[in-house]
Amino acid sequence: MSEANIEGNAGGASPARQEPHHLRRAVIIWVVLSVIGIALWLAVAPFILPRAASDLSSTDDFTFVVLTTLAVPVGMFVYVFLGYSLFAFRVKERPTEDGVPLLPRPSLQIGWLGITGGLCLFLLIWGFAAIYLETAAAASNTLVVQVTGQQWLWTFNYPQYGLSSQSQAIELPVNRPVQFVVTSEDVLHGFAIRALGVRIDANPGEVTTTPIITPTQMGNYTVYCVELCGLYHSYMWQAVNVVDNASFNSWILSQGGHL
Amino acid sequence: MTMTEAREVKRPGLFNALVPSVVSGIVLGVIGAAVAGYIVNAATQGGNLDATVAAVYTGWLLFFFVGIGAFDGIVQWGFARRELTSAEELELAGKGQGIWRYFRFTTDHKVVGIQYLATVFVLFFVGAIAAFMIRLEQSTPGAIYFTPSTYNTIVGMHGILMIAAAIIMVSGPFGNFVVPIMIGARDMAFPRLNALSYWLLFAALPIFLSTLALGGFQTGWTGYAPLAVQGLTPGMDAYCFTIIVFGISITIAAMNIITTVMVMRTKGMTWGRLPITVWGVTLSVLLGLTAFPTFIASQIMVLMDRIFQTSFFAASYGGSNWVYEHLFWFMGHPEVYVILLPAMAVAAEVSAVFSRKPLFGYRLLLGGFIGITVLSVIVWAHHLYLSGSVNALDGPFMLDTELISIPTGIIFLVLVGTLWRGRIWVTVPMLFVVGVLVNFVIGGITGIYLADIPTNEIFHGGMFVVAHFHFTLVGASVFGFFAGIYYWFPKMLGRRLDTMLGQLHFWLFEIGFLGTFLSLFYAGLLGEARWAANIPPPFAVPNTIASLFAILIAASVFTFIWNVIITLVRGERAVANEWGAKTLEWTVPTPVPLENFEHLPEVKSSPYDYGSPPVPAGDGVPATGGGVAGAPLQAHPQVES
Amino acid sequence: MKQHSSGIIIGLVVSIILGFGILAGIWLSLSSIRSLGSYSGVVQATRTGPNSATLELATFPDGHVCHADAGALQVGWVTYCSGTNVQANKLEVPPNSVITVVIKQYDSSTTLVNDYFRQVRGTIGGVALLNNKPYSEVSADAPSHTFTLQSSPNSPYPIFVSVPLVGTANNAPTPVNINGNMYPVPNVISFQFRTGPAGITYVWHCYDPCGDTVYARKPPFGFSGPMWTLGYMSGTMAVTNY
Repeated sequence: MSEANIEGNAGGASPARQEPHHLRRAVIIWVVLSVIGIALWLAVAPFILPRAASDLSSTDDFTFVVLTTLAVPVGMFVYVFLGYSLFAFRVKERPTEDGVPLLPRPSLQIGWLGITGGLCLFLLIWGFAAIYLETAAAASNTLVVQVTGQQWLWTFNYPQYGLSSQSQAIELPVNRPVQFVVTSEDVLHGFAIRALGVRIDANPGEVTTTPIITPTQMGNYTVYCVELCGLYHSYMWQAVNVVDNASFNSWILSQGGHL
Repeated sequence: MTMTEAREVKRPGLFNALVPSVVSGIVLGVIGAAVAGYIVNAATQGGNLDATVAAVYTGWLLFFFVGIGAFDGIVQWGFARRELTSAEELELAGKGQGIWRYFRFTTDHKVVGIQYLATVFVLFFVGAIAAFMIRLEQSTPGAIYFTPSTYNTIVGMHGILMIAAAIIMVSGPFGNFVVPIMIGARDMAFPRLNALSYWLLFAALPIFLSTLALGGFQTGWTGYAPLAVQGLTPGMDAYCFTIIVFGISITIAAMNIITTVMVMRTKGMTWGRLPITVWGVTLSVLLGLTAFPTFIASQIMVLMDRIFQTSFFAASYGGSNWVYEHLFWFMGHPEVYVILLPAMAVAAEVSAVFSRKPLFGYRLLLGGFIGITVLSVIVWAHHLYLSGSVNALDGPFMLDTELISIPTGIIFLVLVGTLWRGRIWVTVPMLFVVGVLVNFVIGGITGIYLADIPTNEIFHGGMFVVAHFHFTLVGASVFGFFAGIYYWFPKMLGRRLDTMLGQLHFWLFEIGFLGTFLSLFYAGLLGEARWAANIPPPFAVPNTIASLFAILIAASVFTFIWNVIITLVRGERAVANEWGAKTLEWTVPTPVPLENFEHLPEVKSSPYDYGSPPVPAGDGVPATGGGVAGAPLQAHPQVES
Repeated sequence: MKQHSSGIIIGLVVSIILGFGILAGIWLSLSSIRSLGSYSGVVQATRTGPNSATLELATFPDGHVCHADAGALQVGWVTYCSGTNVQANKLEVPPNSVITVVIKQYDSSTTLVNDYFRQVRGTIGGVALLNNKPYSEVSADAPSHTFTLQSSPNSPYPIFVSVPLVGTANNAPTPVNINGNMYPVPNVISFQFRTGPAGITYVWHCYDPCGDTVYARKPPFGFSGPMWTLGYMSGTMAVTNY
């Protein structure tokens, strides 16, 4: 946007006095603020994001951190140039002359499209890689949990142990792959465990399966329903406790299952 | 009163004004509704409530339009076998009717524009009240203020009222009032269809509000089957019917706008000289024309499942809920660009005027808009990544969705470039354009998170999505609408909105909006689900903060209402070219005469050629288009006449 | 200028007052609309000791006893209430107590959609009493309804109780007269559970869908109507001191 980018008539706005190099200034401010912004984000991110408790949610959270890191300079571009314009080029009242009639050169347009296209390509490759990683094959000891959503309760079956959940709490063993097989008895429900990175719709008459995930951190997490299903949609929840193997085995027995 | 032909009997003044008008329309509509409902109720022996309700709505619609005189023209054309005389056409356009023309089936595009504006305000107001109720309920854990079913109805009402308002907010008031003048036409291509499209919207409102008397609806604005098909209380039928009527209204308006812009541009107004607002509105309605039929179809199918027990969406009878989701989102995604495009076009228009600079790449911006229009039709299944449907297509849809970020980036380049090194006059419209840019950055970037499957997995169905679409639909689009309001109010209503109140409105709105929805982003990051009447305790703090900031938004709404009221009552009169802009609407006097132009203008240049020397006119004297009183600014409007 | 600014201040104040007025008006009209399906009857458990109380409920095949003033459609809906014309929308029980629930079940059976609800869960001893005989599980076509008590998300004291309520025979004679309405001899089902601290609210709901007599019962249709409506087959339970 310097003189070199101007096409067309510069009309009645040719400055006789020495104009400060606005573009250079703005770019410097942009770079500095972007660096500061990225540093701030990376410092703050572990405190903002909830604890990731499975391999999948770790990947997803990492993706979020990376995307935000990329987003900082992109957003700063708009904010810096916008803010700079409002400070440097503002007139107090009705303007008495026109601004410099700048038009973008083809090289700027192509360059811009190239950069945004490149960013887009990066996002795409990242996304496809993540999808590929998610579709891992089942290990031999994958725990299968059958989930049935019904207005307005989640009921759980562990067919490998012959048990069904006796309350609004279930347990999962840490470091063992688990896959949720989800269906609904009536309307759409959304089965979601944020900390484990699990999210899939429960459809009536259909069975949907989540990717195979491995919980990596013990702790207490929650299933919420994320698809509006009527009156008590916001009461449809289940506590998910990720515990060690011994506790899991005794829990199985307490629920009436067999090892 | 006006005499047209001697055939008509002269009636007393008030009766002539009332019949036909909205009053006679409502009276006849109510009678028709009652009769139709009674007949169907008797025929089904009271056993099919949904059928009765559908009959009531059909009777209301039909008889409302009889009562308001919509069919008069057709009947006259059919039986009297002659065209309307020009005097009759002028009367239909509201000549000589004073303020009554706003309450009748008036064809003048300016009247229709004002009618749309008033209705948009009402829709926004009721939707905003619903929003405040939502934030009230969500301010603390527990379903305290409303029962969960009432809350679900409120959420659904907020959603559909706001979406409907946002779809028509720029194309309705400005697309009708300003666009024909901008292209140098006297009216739109189909004036009577224009009136029809407005009154269809009006007639849909009582249908929608009747849901409160019928038990409400539980599905939220997305109306997902099978939940939509489930309920025994007929409140859901009100929603379905409203969509069908609204969809028809939009389709008619879209055809009208597209035809007008294609064939009624004045001499010299080539496609490359069209103001960007016209492009934005035209591309938006073209997109709407493509997208809305599936919405209408999906609602007809839901109604059939409810009334006639078909099984489109009932899995146990062989139907599939995924069919509904695809039909809905095939509309649902283009629909957000229907909302966004005109607002961004208005923002571009306003930014050029108040920087006194050409648009930084008019054709580049057009490329961006057209890119968005085309791409947005093929991205809908990104709403369905986690539905269990389209698993194989997740990748391709992610590809298309990411691609939209490229044309969107172009918009940012052009807007920022337009401001760069301009002479920026920070008026209230310009403030709102700044708001558009600030908010749209956040909205657009968070859209990328949702487009990418790994992050979609942790955010879908949660408050992150809610915050994202509020940033784009409200932060970018509604702010663009307000920029347009403050910009065109002097032309449409002849008075200046108070600047101080306008600035107060902006700051209250922006600060309140940022506070509310950034808090909700955080809540979504933590994993809070959507549509929660009962907020779980872990999310209480961000929700309370969001509700506190929402009070600022409420204050901004009332500030704006007050501004409009006092301006209409005792505001300063505006001059014809209030801002020194160059598009054609600023060359006509304020208030705009019935037929807009005395002589149709001939356009010689682009409306954004600020900083260029004036195009010499035939007599060598550049016109100033009607009175930029006292300003030393050389206003070289597009046209030399 | 002074006149201008004082006008603005007055105007702002008036707008805000008007706005709250409109808000209040809408809230009042919403809450008074009975057709939104919300009833506010409170059924309190009777205290039988410092740490025990008894809650008496009944499930009727229609609403004549407890919703006698409802519209033509809703008076035909299955209803849970106190058996003495108090709608069971809001139950109240004392904290830190053993609650004995006694339900008189007047309705006939409908087959369960989800076998999960065949079992008695969450009660003290893991059983319930049907006409004084203990049971912990029934067949899928035995229950008429279930009484299922569940917690709000992340509840500090989660309670989960689910008891299938066995139905009466399909063609049983109807000798019981309540306010002029005739019903069969009820199955009396009782069970016990413990409450925790005061100030927590739970919700209860029936999970044996029968909700829709107009259309066929296959999902999603059987789950609507009274199954969805507070005061018929769903409601809340508050643990409070009284």
